[in-house]
Amino acid sequence: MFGFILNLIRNRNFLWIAGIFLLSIIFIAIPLDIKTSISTAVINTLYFPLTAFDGFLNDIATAKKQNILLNQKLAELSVQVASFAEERAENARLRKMLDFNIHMPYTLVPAKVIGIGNNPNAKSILINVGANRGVRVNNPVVTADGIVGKTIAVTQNSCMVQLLTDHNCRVSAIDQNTRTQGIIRWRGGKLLQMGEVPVESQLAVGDTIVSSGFGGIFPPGIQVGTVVYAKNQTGSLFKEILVKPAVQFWSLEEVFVILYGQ
Amino acid sequence: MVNKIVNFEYAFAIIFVLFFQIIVAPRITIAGATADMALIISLWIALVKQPRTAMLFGFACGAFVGIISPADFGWAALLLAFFSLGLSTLKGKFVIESMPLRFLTLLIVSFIYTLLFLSFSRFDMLSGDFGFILSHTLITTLYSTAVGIVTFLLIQYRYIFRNMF
Repeated sequence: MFGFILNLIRNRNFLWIAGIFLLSIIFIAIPLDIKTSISTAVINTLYFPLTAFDGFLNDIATAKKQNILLNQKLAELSVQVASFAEERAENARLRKMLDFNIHMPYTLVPAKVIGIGNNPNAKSILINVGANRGVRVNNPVVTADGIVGKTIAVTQNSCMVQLLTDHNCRVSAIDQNTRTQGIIRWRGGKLLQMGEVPVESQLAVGDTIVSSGFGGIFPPGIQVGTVVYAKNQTGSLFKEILVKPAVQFWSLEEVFVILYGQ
Repeated sequence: MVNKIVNFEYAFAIIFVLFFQIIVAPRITIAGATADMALIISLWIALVKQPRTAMLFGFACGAFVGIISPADFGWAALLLAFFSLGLSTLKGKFVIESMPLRFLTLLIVSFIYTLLFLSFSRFDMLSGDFGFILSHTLITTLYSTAVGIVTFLLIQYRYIFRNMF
C-alpha cells in the first residue's frame, strides 16, 4: 500500500492532477463575497483593456439608438414648433380683432376667408358668413387695420366681398389731418389713388386717410391708408395723391362685416 | 526559445478566448445561449497536445474565464481541466485525427460539459425546470459546435491564411 502511494507520488502526472483538483476545489470553496472582490479586482485591472473596449462598443450602440430616437423626436418637435408658430400668429390676429371689436360702435360679424377670387379684373374674396348672420349686399368689410372692401353678393351662408383693390370699388375718403375729401380707387399696382383732391389742399405725404362716410356704404373714420405721394399736376385742378393701403390684401384670413346702414 | 514561443501561443489563445467571451459572445446570443469558446479551444488543445498540457491549459482557460462570473469561478476550471485530460488521454487510445470525428467529439463533449456545468455550478436550477436546462444545454451545444467547427477549420488551415498575407 505504502509502495503504491509512493509510486503515485513519484508519478508527476498524478501530482499535477491532484494539484489542479485541489486548486479547483479551493476556488469553488471560496466564499462568494471574496470571489466577487477578486473578480472585480481582476476585471478592473487585468481585463481592463477588454472591458473598456466592450464599454466603448456599448457606448457606440447606445449612441446609435439614441441618435435614431433623437432624430425622431427632433422631427416631431419641428412639426410641433411650426404648429405653435402658426397658432401664435393666429392668436395675435384674433387678439387684435377682439380689441378692434370692443372699440367699434357698430355691430360686427366676424368671418373667415374661405376663398379668393381668381379673376384679375374683379378682385374679391369669399367669406363664411351670409344672410343667416344678417349680412346684406353693400355691407362694409374691414379688419383691425382698415377697410377691406364691401359685400357684393350674399348667399345664406357666405358672401362675396369686392376688395378695395378691385377696379370698380370706390370709397369716399377724407384726410384726417387737413380734412380734405376725395375718392379712393385702385389704378393698378400696390397703391390706391385718391382723386378729386384740389391743388390748394395742404394734404401731404404721411397723412392718414380714413373713410368719410359720405358714400353711405362705409361708416366714417375707418382707416384706408397712408399718403405716400402727393404732387400738383401741371395744368390740372387736382393733385395726384397715392395712398398705401392699410390692409395687406394678400394675407387676409379673418375679417369683420359691419352691419352698417341697416 | 521554442518553449517561449509555445507559451506565447497559449497566452494568445487565452486572450482570444477572453476577447470572445467578453466582447463577442454577449452580442451574438441565440435564445439566451452563447458559444463557449473556452471549451472549444481547450478541446482543440486536448486533441493536438499531450494530456498534461491539455489539462493545464483547460484549467488556466477555465480559471481566467470563470473569474468573470464569480458564482462559476472554479467550476469551469475543474471541468475544463478534467475534460481536456480525459479527451487527450482517449485521443491516444482512439485515434481522433479526421476533422469530422473531431466535430463529433466536440458535439458530444460540449453536450456533456454544458449539462454538467449547469448541474454543478447552477444546481439550484435543477430544482426548477429540468426541461429548460436540457433545452438550454442543447442550444448551447449546437451553437458551440457550430462555432467550434469554424474555429477548428480556421486553426487547422491557419497556415494557408498566413501564406495569403
